[in-house]
Amino acid sequence: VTELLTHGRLQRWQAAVSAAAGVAVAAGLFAVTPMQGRADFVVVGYMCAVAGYLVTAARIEGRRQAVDRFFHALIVTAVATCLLALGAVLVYTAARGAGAIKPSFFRNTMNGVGVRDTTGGAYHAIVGTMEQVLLASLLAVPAGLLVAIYSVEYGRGRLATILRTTVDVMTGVPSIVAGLFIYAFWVLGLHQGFSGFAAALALALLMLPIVVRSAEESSVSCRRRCARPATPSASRGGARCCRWSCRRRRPASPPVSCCRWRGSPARPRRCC
Amino acid sequence: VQTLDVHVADEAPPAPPIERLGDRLFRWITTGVGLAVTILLLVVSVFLLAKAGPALSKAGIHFFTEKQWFPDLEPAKFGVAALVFGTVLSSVLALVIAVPVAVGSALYVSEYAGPAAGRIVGWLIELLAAVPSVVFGLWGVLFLQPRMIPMQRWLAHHLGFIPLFKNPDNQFGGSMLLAGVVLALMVLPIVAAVTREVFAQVPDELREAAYGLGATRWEMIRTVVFPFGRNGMIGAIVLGLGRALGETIAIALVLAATYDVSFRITRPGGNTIAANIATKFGEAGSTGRSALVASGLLLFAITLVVTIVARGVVTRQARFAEGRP
Repeated sequence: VTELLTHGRLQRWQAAVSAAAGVAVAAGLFAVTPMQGRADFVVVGYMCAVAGYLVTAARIEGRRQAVDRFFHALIVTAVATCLLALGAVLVYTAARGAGAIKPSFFRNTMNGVGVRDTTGGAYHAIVGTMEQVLLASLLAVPAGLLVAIYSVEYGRGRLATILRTTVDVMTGVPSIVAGLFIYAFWVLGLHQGFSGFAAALALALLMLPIVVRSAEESSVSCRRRCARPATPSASRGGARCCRWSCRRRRPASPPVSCCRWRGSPARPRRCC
Repeated sequence: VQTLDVHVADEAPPAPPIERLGDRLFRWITTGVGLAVTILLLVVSVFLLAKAGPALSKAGIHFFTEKQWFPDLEPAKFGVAALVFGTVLSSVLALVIAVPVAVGSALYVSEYAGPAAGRIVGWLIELLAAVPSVVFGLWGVLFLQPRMIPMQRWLAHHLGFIPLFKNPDNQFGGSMLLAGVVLALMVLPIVAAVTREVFAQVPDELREAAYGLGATRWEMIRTVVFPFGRNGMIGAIVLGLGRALGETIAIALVLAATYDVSFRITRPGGNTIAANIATKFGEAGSTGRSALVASGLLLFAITLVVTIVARGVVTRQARFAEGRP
């Protein structure tokens, strides 16, 4: 039975042998022709191994299976490339940076530190980063949540359309343009000067659309999940409008707080 | 059950909602914040335009045709021709490199890997999105640049008959190709994430049907997954393009900044709008800053168009996947 099932299929050992033959061909090429270098050998050897594997597959299984295996190999190569690049970035950064991580790195600033000195640290940068991110979050998170609630719960009419377009536009703003926005508006226009607060404003500009989008998404999906079965009874039970999430409902209200129910139960509309 | 629901619904139309004071207040607050955000963005854009005005009126039409960037000299000589060219070229290179890899890894996650392996690979690729761009830039200039010189030399020597790879000076370093590779790593996660989502929406019935007709896995992908996800893939690519166009600090670190228009991607040189703003801002005088703001405005306009196109395409895909018109 095994023979029946495996007949005409590429066996593991056949694949391995043909791949090894490919590597051998590559090694021969490097011995005879002027090709050299370790990285070159890895690349050429890999290509030869895959080529050998595919030729064997085509001989045994036919063209369609070989094409299938070719793209399988290509896709695995793509994933390997991704992971290799990620690994290179992480490992190199960690290896090069590890030497600088010592207590003074967290304690000292670069104030009065010369180019050749080894005493400097990133204390100021760490504090500054936290300060500005915190400030930006304080500005962007409440505003973003409220915008998302507006867009999901009340969002009808022209203002809502304009607001959604605005948020769409903001998602695409490059960080350098956000910086220029605040430079032209806050620093030049309102004569406030360069400051950490101005930086936080620019960061808030970048954060806002992300907060809005993810809040909208979770709110809408939450509502979809809860809206369907219970809506008719909920609205007949006098469910109040404008509860923006399942979790934020009042204990006394019906099991699912939802907006006015219009249209078919399968498709709850935006309402209120 | 469906008919029963409809029946009940017909019999008892839902009661009108009761809006209490808190509800009304809340509505006002959210509406106010929404309005404020819209107005704020409008005001900020007006300021940007106003501050770009002096440089634009000084340069006139030369702002779009001049390649050099000397806004603070007398007479001033500056324009965005080389910058726009470099911005588009580096982004297109990035996409050419990133898209096949991103689509391949998305296919791996959705079609080839088991649930556990797929989740791990997806997570790792998202980790790539968590790396700050300045780390990519430093990595590009310290790690990748020396390691890519042999490859670029090989390209120039063996494929030099293609004008793209020609390098008559035989100098290698911070080239457009290097910038393209670094940018590719940065747009890869977003392209992979969006395409993966699109592929995940392909109905299993269609997959089973293709297999049932005797298709191999690749034939199934070609005949079912790709046609179904075409719009979404285009949207993902355009989203990645928007990301690449605006990338600043990595490019500023990696590219050997020159102001020329050249397709020789293995030669050091070239510049982008965003990188130019970052590197020139500190030393610029008043006209210089105005000129930088003007170039930023142009970048904003370009990314605006790209973002709107991407949104449109992605929304259409979402509708298509949900079976709505």
